[in-house]
Amino acid sequence: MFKNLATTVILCSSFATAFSTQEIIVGARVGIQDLTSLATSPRLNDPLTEIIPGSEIAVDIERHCNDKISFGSFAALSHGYKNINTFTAGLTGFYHVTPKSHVGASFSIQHFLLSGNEKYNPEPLIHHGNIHTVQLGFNIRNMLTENIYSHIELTADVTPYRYHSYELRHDMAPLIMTAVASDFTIKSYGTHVSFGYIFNEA
Amino acid sequence: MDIKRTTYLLLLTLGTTHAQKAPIDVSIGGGYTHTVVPHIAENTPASKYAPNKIAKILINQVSTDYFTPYISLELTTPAANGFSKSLLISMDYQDDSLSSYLYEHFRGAQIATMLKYHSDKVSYSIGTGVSFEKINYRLPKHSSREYRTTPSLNIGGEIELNDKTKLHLSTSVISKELEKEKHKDNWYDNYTVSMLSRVGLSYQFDSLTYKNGDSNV
Repeated sequence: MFKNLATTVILCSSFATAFSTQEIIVGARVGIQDLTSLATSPRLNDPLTEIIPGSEIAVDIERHCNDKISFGSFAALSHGYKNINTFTAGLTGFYHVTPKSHVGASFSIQHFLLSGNEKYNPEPLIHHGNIHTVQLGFNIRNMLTENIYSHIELTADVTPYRYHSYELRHDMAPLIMTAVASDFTIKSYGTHVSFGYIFNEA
Repeated sequence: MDIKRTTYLLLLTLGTTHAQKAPIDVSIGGGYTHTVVPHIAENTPASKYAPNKIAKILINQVSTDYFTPYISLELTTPAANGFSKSLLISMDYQDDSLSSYLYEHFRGAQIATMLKYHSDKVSYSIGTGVSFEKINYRLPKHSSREYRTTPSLNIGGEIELNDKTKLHLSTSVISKELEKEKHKDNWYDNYTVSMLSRVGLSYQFDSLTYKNGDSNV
């Protein structure tokens, strides 16, 4: 997990550095989200679900290619129900229908972060392993004022089939869990609604 | 007829009656729905008296999820200050191949009244509605088929890609009150929620504007 996390951070830093030499837009946003994680296993007929409402903070970095199209990157940290936290970083592209209304797509990697506080609620499967998924998002963004914008996004899991997205940490999981959860694959879907502030405009 | 159902019908009647007095914007749409349906919620006898922790987890979290196509019809009427009201009717299609091990599940239709706020080409919506479902159970203790009416909360957004076409993103939370179960002297509410996330396009027959309460009709 940490190898992937490091790769993502390096990727984001590279983009941020590259953008810093261009005319860029930097924004920060805060909002709510609702994640649904589904654990599937060849041993189970039905997946196991964890619905995780929570809050998120995010940073957007973006650059215009022309009047209609812009590209950028983003990083988001969320805190959810049952102390389940996620870190998501990826790339976004927007088509500007009008200067104030944008529609876009995002491609990102999502990590579920272990809270280190498993005593809080030891039940969710998520607390006993590492999860990283690939997310495809559909966005609608609207500039409410010159600097304040809204962001609505639905994300779907596009992790490649057969990719083992869940890795059980044997040092943390109860012994009985290792027999059940060792071959889980976890998919994650989300709804995000947030409001942001643009610090500078290109 | 219970109070909840009567309230929904009253709200829908009021909404449609009011809509008839104003210019109506008609749009049809379609797309895909991702639905997650947890089967059994916590605090049921089955989970409370589960033999061990793993069994409890399995009982509490077992679910079904599926992608289904949907079609929708939306009637929108302008209101003041950039707001509008709409009546949304949608139907999902699910074939037998998506049925679950525990039960076959078929979602019939949703009707919702929505309040929208329009800002430039983007609009935000929030509303409540009713979901009609037909459910075929596989469990022997239940009847094989059941029709159910459940309330839903809908939030979403849409953007006008051009004069006639809109892209929709929305999420609905549908509450379900399943059959109550009795264990010894206590009754347990078998209560859960399902989540619907939708991405779709719609075609708008008329193009009203919703800025500051001045429609273009």
